Amino acid sequence: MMESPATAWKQWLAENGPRLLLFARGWSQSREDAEDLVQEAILRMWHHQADKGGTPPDLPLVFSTIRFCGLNHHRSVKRRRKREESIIYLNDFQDVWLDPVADDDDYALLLRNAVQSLSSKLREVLIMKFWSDLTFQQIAETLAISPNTAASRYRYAMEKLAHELRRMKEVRHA
Amino acid sequence: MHDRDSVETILARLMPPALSMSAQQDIEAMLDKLAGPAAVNQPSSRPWRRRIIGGGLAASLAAALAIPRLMEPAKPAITATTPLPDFLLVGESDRVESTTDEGWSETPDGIAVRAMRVRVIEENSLFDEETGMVMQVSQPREELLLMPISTF
Repeated sequence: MMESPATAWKQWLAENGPRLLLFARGWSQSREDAEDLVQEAILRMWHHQADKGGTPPDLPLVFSTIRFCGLNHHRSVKRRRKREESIIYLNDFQDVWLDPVADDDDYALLLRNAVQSLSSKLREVLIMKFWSDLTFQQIAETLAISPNTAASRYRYAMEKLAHELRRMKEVRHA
Repeated sequence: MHDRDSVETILARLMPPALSMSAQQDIEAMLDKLAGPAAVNQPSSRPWRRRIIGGGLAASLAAALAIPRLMEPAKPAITATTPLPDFLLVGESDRVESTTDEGWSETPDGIAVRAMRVRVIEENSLFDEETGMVMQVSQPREELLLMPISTF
């Protein structure tokens, strides 16, 4: 008896779930919303892949889909906020996007905040390059930009993080 | 460059967290539901036959088949473990039912886009070789197309 196609997708999810969640987090207000985006993207991918053998999709396509779903979600949230001005959105202070390998890694914790504070343009490229191992060509196709632009954004993101790291070290030693 | 090496070294000590247990279970349950009953590896003398497996489609097909079979002797109801009959896809089309201009918007990156909401009816014609019936399965969907605006 053939294996259920869901098995391959579950294995794919186990391998790629964290990087999908990290990418989706940049397009959402909370971890829960990010997980909803991931689920919505996977649902769309399932139907998209149905006539392509039903195999799990390539990461660049999933990232594009998460962006599309995130954009739609952003528009509806924006409209809702205009209607419901009195709602206060509380930040979840435990809602972090990255976990340090060691709990006492201060520089990693500081750099994590810097990554979260990057502009979405730079952060997207950084996430896809550093934590998803996409090439600049793949990133370019996902974001509809040129590979040179993708490489420039990555370089600029690293420079900004390096600058932030220097600043944090100076503050600490002061 | 030294700083960049330091940044990359530190970034390598940061890992994206896994999906929460509940999210993982929700997605896996969704995948199980989408996959339907596990596919059975049956050799076919007609390799060009396409097997259609899908939860939503199966439900609509089951309903379509139930009508002519009311006159037949009672048979066991279709259950989650009943293998689906083979159907041949003989035609498929997407028909745009309506379009609505949703005006201009902008992405979080500040790129101006024009949004068009499109309602599409996907129609598939399926031929059941066993009964000779041709069924039309229609599935509406709504899409939001975002077209970047480069000229004004």
